[in-house]
Amino acid sequence: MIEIKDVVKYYGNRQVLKSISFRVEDGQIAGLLGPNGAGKSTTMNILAGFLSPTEGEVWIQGYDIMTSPLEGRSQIGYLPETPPLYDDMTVEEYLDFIGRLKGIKDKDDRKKAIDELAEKTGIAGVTQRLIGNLSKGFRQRVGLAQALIGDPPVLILDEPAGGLDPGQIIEIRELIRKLGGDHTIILSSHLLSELQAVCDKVIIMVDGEIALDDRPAHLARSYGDQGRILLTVKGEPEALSRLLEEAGFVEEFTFIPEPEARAGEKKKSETRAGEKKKSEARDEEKKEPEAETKEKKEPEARTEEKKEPEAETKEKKEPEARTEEKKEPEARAEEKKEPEAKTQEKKSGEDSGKEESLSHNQKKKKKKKGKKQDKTDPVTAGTTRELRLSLKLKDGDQSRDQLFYLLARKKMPIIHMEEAEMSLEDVFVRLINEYNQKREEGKEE
Amino acid sequence: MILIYQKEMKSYFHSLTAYLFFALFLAASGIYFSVICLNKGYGDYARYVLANISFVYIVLVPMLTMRLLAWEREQKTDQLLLTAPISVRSVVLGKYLAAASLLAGAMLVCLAEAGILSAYVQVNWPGTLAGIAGFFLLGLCLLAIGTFISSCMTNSMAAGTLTFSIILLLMLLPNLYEVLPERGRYACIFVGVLIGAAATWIYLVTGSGRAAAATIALGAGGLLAAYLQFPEWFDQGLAKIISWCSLSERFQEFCQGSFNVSSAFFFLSMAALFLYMTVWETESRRWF
Repeated sequence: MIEIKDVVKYYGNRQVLKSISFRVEDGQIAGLLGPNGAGKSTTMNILAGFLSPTEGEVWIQGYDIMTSPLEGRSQIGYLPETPPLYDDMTVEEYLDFIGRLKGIKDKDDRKKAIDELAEKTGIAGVTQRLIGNLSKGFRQRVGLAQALIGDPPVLILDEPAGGLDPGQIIEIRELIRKLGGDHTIILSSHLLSELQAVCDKVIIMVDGEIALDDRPAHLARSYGDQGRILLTVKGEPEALSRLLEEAGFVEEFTFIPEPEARAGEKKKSETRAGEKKKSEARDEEKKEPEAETKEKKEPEARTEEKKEPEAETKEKKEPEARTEEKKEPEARAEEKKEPEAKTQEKKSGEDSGKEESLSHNQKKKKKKKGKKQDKTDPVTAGTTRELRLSLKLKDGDQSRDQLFYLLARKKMPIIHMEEAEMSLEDVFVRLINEYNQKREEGKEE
Repeated sequence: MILIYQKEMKSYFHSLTAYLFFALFLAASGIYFSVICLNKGYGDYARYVLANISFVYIVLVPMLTMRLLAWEREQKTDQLLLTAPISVRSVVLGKYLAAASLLAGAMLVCLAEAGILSAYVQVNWPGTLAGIAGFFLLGLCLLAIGTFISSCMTNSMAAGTLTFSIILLLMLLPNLYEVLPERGRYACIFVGVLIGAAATWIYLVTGSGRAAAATIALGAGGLLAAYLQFPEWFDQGLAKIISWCSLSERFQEFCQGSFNVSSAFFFLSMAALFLYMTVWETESRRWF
């Protein structure tokens, strides 16, 4: 159990941590994230006992790290940003040294522990090599092994996957996940997908303060656009848009253009309207291969969607529709990588829906957009087909029921409905922007 | 502590440090030994060889101590040592003892040389042993100073250079005797300056002007009283002060054959003082 209470840290006159408090329970994996310079490494150093806070307390497994340093530190395995390696020792010697340092007295126990760890972290082949001769990836893994020796109950890992190739990153992620249940882990990373996949809770730090401290699944709820859903409905575009305009509970809606490539992606799904809750992040383990194939199809889909504006030859083009589509490539450019922790209960291509929702996130003003988007469909306006929309409803749950009944009454079956999710990256970017804004406002004052 | 000791010893022997140390020591003592003892036939080993080669510490001590703590900071491995369940005291002592062990090895070399000498000439064993002991104690003191300097610096090269300079100055200090004024009043002034420096330091550390003022008052009062009561203490005062502090002077006594217990104690307590300051310095880094 890690607990940090009201910790303030000054480097001379500069304040780097402004009253940090959080708690990581036994067996939890916490992810610490934030822009560079936010104070993450300082926090980790303070947790490990390397630095002392100017004010505040740190408790590791119940030991105050300042008053009982030796007991506290014996509970910790620490991997700093730069792995602390002695270049003139071999890997085996080094790990033996660390083992003794951490209190494994018996030589055979140590040897066993080292061999096990070498297997787990993938350095079994280089144990006889001098550390100074190892590549970055191996050095990082030796550093990780060093943190794990002696099986300490608390692990503090600063960028455990730094400098590793993608395959190794996945291995490390598996390792950490396996360690999760019986160890308390706090790790910091820049790989947001990583954190979303592995962590039970995510702590975002900006500028020395904690901006957000929550389970990844709750983030969208607490930070995202609430009440936004993505809908696949079978019906006539014109009739549908008229219907939605007149419905009082719909704040705004947009049609999502349907590129041809998308047709192949859609897998058969049952009509199950009204699914609301997302599954927990851990379920995505099974969905990973799917997510990856979807990611491959995305670049195809994107190029398709980009071609649409060019292909349009209609005279009456809603200026808004155009800006809408222009914003899509922007939105896509911002999205670097679809987080793998997309929680999906249905297997259907809602990736374009996500991109749509992102561009909506950028527009923070709530306008009622009743403009008829069907004119953007280059093919046919007015025929009954599957349409995709992104809607923002007032008053979440109630409105959803109303929508369902409305559409059912008008014989426009809902093929698919889901809540739009905000990915960790979006939360991150939004937080950063907010803080920058606040800081600028502060300066102006 | 034993663990750190072993690691440091391994490190000395895996890098060239230990070999260079012994090579240099053997060369220096060997030359003097060959020329003065073997060639000229002087049997008093300590008086003639050791007394003359104390300058070799100027190079040997930085060689051993510069990497001790500064290297850990350079390579960021101090993060490992300071977050491990080991006290800073153990770390510092372990490293210091490793350096001291190499020094002890050098003393064995001296003993060996004296032993060789005894085959040819009647060796003054009590004097020789006293001399070797003094040489060792001097070495211990200087190693402690080197360790402290190493803990202050982030760059092992800088630590080495600074240690070199300071030990050089310490060795040169006795030469000042001839230029020092003899009259008591200058000793007074010197002590007064020291009191002022102490008061300033107290003020900086505690922030309390009152404490500083109190120091000055007490110090000046004591000084004045002493001067009035015992003026003879202050005659040749400066020279006396310098000779009390001087490491070389005390060492020379040992070489002349007399094992002065108070000097031995002086060396050991200076070593202890600097080691304590090293631990203090390293611990206090946590609060920066």
